Amino acid sequence: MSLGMELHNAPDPNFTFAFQPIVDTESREVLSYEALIRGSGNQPAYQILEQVPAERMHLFDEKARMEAIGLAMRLGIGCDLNLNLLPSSLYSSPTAILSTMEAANRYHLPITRIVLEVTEGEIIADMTHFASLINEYRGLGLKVAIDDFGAGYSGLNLLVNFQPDQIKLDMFLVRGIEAHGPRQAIVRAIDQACRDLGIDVIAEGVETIAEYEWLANQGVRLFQGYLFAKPGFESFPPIHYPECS
Amino acid sequence: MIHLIYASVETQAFSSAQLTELLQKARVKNEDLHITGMLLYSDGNFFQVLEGEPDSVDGMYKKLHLDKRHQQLTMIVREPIAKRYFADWSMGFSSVTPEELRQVDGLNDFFRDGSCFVGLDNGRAKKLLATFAEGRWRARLASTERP
Ligand SMILES: Cc1cc2nc3c(=O)[nH]c(=O)nc-3n(C[C@H](O)[C@H](O)[C@H](O)COP(=O)(O)O)c2cc1C
Repeated sequence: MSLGMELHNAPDPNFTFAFQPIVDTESREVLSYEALIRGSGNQPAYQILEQVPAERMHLFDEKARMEAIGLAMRLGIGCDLNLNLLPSSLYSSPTAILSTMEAANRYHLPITRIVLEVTEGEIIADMTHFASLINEYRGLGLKVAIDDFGAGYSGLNLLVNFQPDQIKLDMFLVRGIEAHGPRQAIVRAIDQACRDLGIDVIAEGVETIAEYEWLANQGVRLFQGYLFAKPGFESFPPIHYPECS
Repeated sequence: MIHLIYASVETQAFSSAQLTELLQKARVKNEDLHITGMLLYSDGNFFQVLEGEPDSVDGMYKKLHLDKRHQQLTMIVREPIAKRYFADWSMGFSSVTPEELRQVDGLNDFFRDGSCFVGLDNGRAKKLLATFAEGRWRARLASTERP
């Protein structure tokens, strides 16, 4: 009991958010903003997260989502909001998602605007458990994205028992794709499977025109990366749409 | 509430009278079971969305397997949904030629007034419908479409 109280009372590092858009390059609309943790002086996420004791991480994770919703609403978000979720908080805390939904209600953000992002590596261990827990909330309108897709050893297997709303292609697959046959073959396969299953594919970490052109030619139209917009510190940054040659 | 989306292939060519009869019966039954959805028929291929409580939908899908009028039932997705996409339709229906499906305009026609696709937001059902239109999930392809 007292342990729980101490955890609740322990001071968290000061943190805030940067927002990076996920853009649809065909319609030139912003599909969503991903909320990225930053220090109050715009320190990178890892510098904040390393200050959080492991046993407090899921509470921090929960609190971060609530704060991100508050800030996004103050900034006047008019599209989806992608929020990171540690699957372990889902297992260890019954309020992990409820608190996010409550915050959404409090700030009048429709639940259907929220996309929870989990990384591939974190869920493969117990896919069935994760799917059954998260599906309850999907029934309420929450969307789910799998982050770093293609980074681990599971890849497409993951889609056998669980079809998320979005997958985010791992940057490793995107890097230099215009000149790398194996990367092209794998991304083509992922794209085809996702199309067949009605899953949106988002290419992350796109940094060069050549990467962008290859992916756009393949039919990918959702992008997140420096080429389009850098994360905006406590703001929605300006967006640049590159022209294909 | 869930939706279940599947594709199948007719065993013998349906006449339009037979399709009409199938639909009439299906709609009465679906209303009883609080099932909504839509059925698309194109050149021998079916694409159907069933929405409702898990028991009703799973029960119906089981029964559909016993129906000798179609075969190769392929479940594409079965997942929870927050709201019905086809709330006003005990079973919306559209019969289209592969050519119509292939043309973007043909697909746009679906979204005209009076069609069950009006107001369909950009969720899974709509995306999969677009995929079906592109020729995926059609086990039987028209001869002109064969590679
Ligand atoms: C492609 C296809 C779709 C069908 N969709 C439905 C449906 O949505 N609802 C329904 O009750 N029956 C549907 N049926 C018919 C059922 O298979 C079954 O014949 C019908 O429910 C009558 O069942 P009963 O003999 O128990 O009365 C469909 C049949 C086919 C071939």
